[in-house]
Amino acid sequence: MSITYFTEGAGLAIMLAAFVIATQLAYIVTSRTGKKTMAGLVAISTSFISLGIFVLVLSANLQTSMFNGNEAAMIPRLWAGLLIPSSAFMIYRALTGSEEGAEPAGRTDKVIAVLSALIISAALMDYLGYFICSAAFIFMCMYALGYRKFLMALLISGSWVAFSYLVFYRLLYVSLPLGSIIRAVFDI
Amino acid sequence: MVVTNLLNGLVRIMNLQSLLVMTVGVVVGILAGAMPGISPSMGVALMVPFTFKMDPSNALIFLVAIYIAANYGGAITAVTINTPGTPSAAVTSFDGYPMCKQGRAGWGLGMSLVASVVGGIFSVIILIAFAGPLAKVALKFWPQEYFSLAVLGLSATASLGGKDWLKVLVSTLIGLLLCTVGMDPILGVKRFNFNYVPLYDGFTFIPALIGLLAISEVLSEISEFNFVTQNVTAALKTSWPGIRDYWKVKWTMLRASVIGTIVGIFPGAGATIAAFISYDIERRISRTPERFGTGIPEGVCAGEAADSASVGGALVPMLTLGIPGSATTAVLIGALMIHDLQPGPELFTKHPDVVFNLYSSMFVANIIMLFVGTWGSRIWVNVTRVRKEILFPFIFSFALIGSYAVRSSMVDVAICIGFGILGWILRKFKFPLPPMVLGMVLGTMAEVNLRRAVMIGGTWAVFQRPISLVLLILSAMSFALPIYGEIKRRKKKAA
Repeated sequence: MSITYFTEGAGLAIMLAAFVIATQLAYIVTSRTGKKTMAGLVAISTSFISLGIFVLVLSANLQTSMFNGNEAAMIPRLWAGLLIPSSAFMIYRALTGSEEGAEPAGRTDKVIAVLSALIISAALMDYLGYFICSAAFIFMCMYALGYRKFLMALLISGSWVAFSYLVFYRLLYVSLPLGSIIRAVFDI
Repeated sequence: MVVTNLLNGLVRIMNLQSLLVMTVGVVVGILAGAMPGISPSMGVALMVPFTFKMDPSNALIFLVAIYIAANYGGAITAVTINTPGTPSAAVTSFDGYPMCKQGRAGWGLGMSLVASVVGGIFSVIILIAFAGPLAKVALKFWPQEYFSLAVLGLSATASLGGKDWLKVLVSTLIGLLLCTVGMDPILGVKRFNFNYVPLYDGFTFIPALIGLLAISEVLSEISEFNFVTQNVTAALKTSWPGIRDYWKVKWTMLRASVIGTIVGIFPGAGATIAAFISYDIERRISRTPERFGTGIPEGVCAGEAADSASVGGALVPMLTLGIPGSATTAVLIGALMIHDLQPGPELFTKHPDVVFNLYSSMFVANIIMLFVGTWGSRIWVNVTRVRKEILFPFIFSFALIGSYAVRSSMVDVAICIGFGILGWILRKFKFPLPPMVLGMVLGTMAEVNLRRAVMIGGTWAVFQRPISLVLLILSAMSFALPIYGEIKRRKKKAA
């Protein structure tokens, strides 16, 4: 089996799955060996090693039109070649107590709520248009962050829509997506 | 010649449109700087989309005015509520806040404003004096020297990472690797884009920067979930210093301006380090060092003048060599590229009007800041009253619209969100993001020039030209310094 097998199709999927498993394993193993605070850093360093290997493997498939001593894979290989040992050294330092662990997790639930609202509104923008999606996002985001004055939240969302319409759409001619549904309904 | 060009630049920007652009830039910058949670780089990144319809000169003037004013804006909240709006303003709070507690908030604000203006103007003079000659020298550089310069720019950030040098290195390498996605700049070979057309040119720079600098910062603040607002207007009803009071601290301002400009020139150093070094030196040479931290004008001026002077310093390598000295100048480089302007020595030969308009505008922007800052202190400080539950959704919305506006593409919005999440995760594990940004900015410069150098002179070409070799030795030294420091610390600890 040639290394180029892993650069596309099933081979690529197998390689990516292997990287995910390696990162998970790194987290689990480190957690169970009394270095729980370092588990995250070890896992993220493992993912960087995976990234380096990923780049090295993919660069094997780059068109090798060598010209006077250089080729397209030269620089990616150089950076990946430096990233892998650096990340491995990071793992060593994390396990020997020379590195600081992660910050406290904090309110990850709030982050996930806000990110979900952001991603959903961005995903729906092609269909519902920028103005509806951004108004809904601002309202949802304020709610997720604990703001409970609903009337004010509605007013703020509406003000943003008016501001973005006047400044971005009218004044700066940013072609904000109107949305396929809105276009169909209003026959724009 | 320089003076004539400068005066011509001044004449060109003395029109209603440019003055308005500068004034709006100063106001936006002060507000962004005063608002804890919005850094100057984030403020500039979020405002880049507003410049798309401007002519390149006004776009640059607008963004640099924000940069200048944001560095001062941080002092307002540092003095009044002991919450620096920007990291570099932390030094201003050492003496500014005690002044406020003594009922002399006006003194703290006045001193910080005048020191900012003095530092800003001084650094522009240095910028004008050095940028032109440096650009002329840079025109004679070969690819070898440009590659070595890029390496020096990258390694300088590692040297400032202290004990976090490894995280700085990894962060830089991630930035450099991300830069390799897209078309190979020499041979035109497709790299790592999986035949996905929107990625043929790689990750769009501005959306990636907005994600890294703005989205990740807001996500970090949300995860801390410490949304406290403070009432500050009572602190401002005090007297302001007079001209004689400012005159008494002239040497402090001048020294701080020199330090700020010099530190600003070094890639990766930035305003925060400049302010701390200046404050420390001022305290050491003072006859009454014990008074520092108790609310003395010298303490406020030392930090604030250096902070503002670092802006002009950071623009020296950016304009002349295309090397960003800070995250904000990295954003400025991205903005310049959008307007088809390539920072570097050719900017001086191909677009001297843009360069001299910028110089002139920096003088004018500082003067505008003096008036706007004096007149509006009572108003600007109210931005701290804006609840973060309201502010954050707006920052997200600005980020999304700004990313979309670059190419009218939802892919860029996805890039912005993706980089935001990546930045948030890296922040969690205390990986500094500015080196990653520098890696993304300098990646192409390093690659193109290394490969050109190899084509010209073979594998070891970069070691064959003396200037290139000296720059590489300096890079190696600046990279080795923190490693040596750590070894020394360990030995000390073991003993």
